[in-house]
Amino acid sequence: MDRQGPANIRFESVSKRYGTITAVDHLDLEINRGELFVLMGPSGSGKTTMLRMVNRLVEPDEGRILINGEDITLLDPVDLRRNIGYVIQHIGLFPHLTVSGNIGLVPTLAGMPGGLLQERIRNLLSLVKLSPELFMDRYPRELSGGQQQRVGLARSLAMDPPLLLMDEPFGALDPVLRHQLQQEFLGIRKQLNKTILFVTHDVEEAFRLGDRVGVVAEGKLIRVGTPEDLIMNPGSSAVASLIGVEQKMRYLDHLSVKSMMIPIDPSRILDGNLFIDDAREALIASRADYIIVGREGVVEGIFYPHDLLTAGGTDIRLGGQAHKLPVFASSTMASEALSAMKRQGVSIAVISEPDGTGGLLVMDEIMRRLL
Amino acid sequence: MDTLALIAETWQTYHLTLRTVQHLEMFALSFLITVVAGIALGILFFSSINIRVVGLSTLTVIEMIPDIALLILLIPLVGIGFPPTISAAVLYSLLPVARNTTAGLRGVSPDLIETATAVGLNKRDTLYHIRIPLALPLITAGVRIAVIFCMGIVTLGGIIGAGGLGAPLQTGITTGNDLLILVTGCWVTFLAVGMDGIAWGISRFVAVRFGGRP
Amino acid sequence: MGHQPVCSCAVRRETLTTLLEATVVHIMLAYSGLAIAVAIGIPLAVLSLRSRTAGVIISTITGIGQAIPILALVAFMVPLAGIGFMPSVLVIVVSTLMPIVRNTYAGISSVDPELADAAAGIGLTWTETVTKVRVPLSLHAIFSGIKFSSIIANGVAIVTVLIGSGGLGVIVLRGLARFYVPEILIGILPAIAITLIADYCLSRLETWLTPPPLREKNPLIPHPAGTGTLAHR
Repeated sequence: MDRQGPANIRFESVSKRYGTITAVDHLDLEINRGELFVLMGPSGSGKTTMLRMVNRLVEPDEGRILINGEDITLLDPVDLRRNIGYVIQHIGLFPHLTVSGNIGLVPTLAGMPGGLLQERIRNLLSLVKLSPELFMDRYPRELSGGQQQRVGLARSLAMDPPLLLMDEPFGALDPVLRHQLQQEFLGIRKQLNKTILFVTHDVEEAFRLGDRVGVVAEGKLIRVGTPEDLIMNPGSSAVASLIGVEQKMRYLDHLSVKSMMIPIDPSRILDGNLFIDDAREALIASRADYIIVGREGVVEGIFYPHDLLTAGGTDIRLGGQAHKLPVFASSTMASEALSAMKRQGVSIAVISEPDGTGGLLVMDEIMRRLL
Repeated sequence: MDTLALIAETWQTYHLTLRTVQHLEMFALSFLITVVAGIALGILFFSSINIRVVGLSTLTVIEMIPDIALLILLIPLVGIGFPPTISAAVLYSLLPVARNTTAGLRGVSPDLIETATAVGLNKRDTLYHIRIPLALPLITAGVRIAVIFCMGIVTLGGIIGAGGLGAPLQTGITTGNDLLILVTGCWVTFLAVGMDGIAWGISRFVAVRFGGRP
Repeated sequence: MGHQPVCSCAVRRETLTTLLEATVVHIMLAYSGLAIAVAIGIPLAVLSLRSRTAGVIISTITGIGQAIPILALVAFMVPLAGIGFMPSVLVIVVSTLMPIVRNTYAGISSVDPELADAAAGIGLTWTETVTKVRVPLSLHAIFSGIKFSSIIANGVAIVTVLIGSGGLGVIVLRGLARFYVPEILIGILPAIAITLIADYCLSRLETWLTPPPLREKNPLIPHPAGTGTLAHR
């Protein structure tokens, strides 16, 4: 198997049936090198089966799976599995081996020299935040659930595989520990430089960890996209209901305002240097509810019709009279922007992109879209 | 003082040192053969269900007769003395070891076996590195039974001319020599219980190390 | 070889009566011993359940006792209890006690605790929960122990010929002394037959005593010596 850098996986029309039940229904999916792809769905949706077909614990009835372009059925299964890391919910550490024994079992069988292996084990334990001196010679039964799971992760990395398969790895842990491990995992993920296929039923986890998320139901992959895509455009009520309101609310922490902004219609922009009288005509002619005032490409404020009528004399420029709007960079977090807006008592803000374009953030609209 | 002298005299007269050596030699030989063959059979039975059914049934049939009966039945076949004693001890003790080995190998959690496969172990590695270690508690329990069977049959061998400590025991009975009986009896009891104790210690150690019982 | 009989018919008749007599003695020896062992052993197991200390003591003693070679036990009777039928029965009791106690204990102690709870809950005394709930549910384990002990009893009954018990051992011993194989076989084969028949009878007895809903299908491979594992918990 090609071991240059992270692996690429492709499912081509893969199906698996158990008797009359279709566990996986014509799955077509491509997972890119280096991405963390999450398969998300309820129990029994087939996501675990899909995962287990990659390391050939399950063989598909139809279709094929390719890793780096090679059909995996043409590869020696044992060799394949040694090049794929596998982390599962119930950890599966061998009770009769120490921590270093567990991590080092496959490398030893594959012929890695002892000194090199010891060093690798130390490095891996440090990576998962377990002190090598304290943990190398411990037995799994002496470790807590969280510690065991860290060792499980270290074990999966022992052969430095280009691909990692993770099946609800944090599922058996309590919520606090789960959150902590997720954070740590995100932290080391960049260092790992591997393709990761992650399975979970926890929507929050999917959105927190995934570069892209695939929603699975009844054996079918019904939607694939980045977390933002899925929240903003579920695509179907099935997906939307899966995602749920709470997740969206919580996900606000992770959304930037960019995905929520409404682009500014250029016809609504009037130059701030215009005199009010001239502007008045333009405004009445356009029958707009509002106009955006900008000067030299920078949005300054907003103007409502009734303001125009009450505005002062002909010498006054538009720019001076417009209500100033708060401006946020497009990368600002939505929750931050919304809080600021609330504090300032405005319901509209301006989002500016680095290239000069931008949009409006309208609070009501956001609420409407999310809910 | 007096008693010690008497014991020492009895020991000398009836060549108990020689008898002890003979006894332990027979025990060691039959025990070793039993353990090696028993575990090998256990692994064989594990690999093939057909061989297992036939093999275990055969061994079970052997177990259904008293050990002395097996010992005596072997006399027409292999003569008296050493051969039937060793053969009977081995045949009789094979079942506990083989059966426990098979049960232990089959009893390893299927989840662990799947994890082993998933991580990239082939069948042979899974057997040697996962199944056998985890089966050791049951295997040692079977071996402990083998210790007791072997000791018992080796002692009985004294009646049919195999030597060992069974011979002076029989002599003591037929000549009504209470002292000989007590000395030999206590000594062989000590050896047997001692061997069993060692086996118990090893099985406890194995149970903790490989079975996870704290 | 050994000396051949002069008149075959007379000796054959004699051998036959001796054989019959020997067989009867053998059965009486082995099974009175076994019966006494059952009568003592099951209560001892119950006692082990009742009291932790008693349990530990009984467990240690039975553990050690089971390791002692039969010949040594037989020999010990001479200075301690003399020779003859009764001391032989005593040896059989002592050597068959251990498996019965161990297996009975294993059976009654592994009854589903919820059932025991329920029994206590509906007002049974502790003894009643044992006799009416635990023991009936442990019949298989108890009979495993009894069957295993039955095999031991038959074996010991041969060896006790050395201390004057009579029985089939007499014939075996004579055959050994003269190195006359047919005689050895005439002595030992009936003993084997008795063991097998007894095992069958005990199985039928067990089935008869087990209430129909609890009867399991016969396992493919019977495990009389499987009790070895249980006995060595």
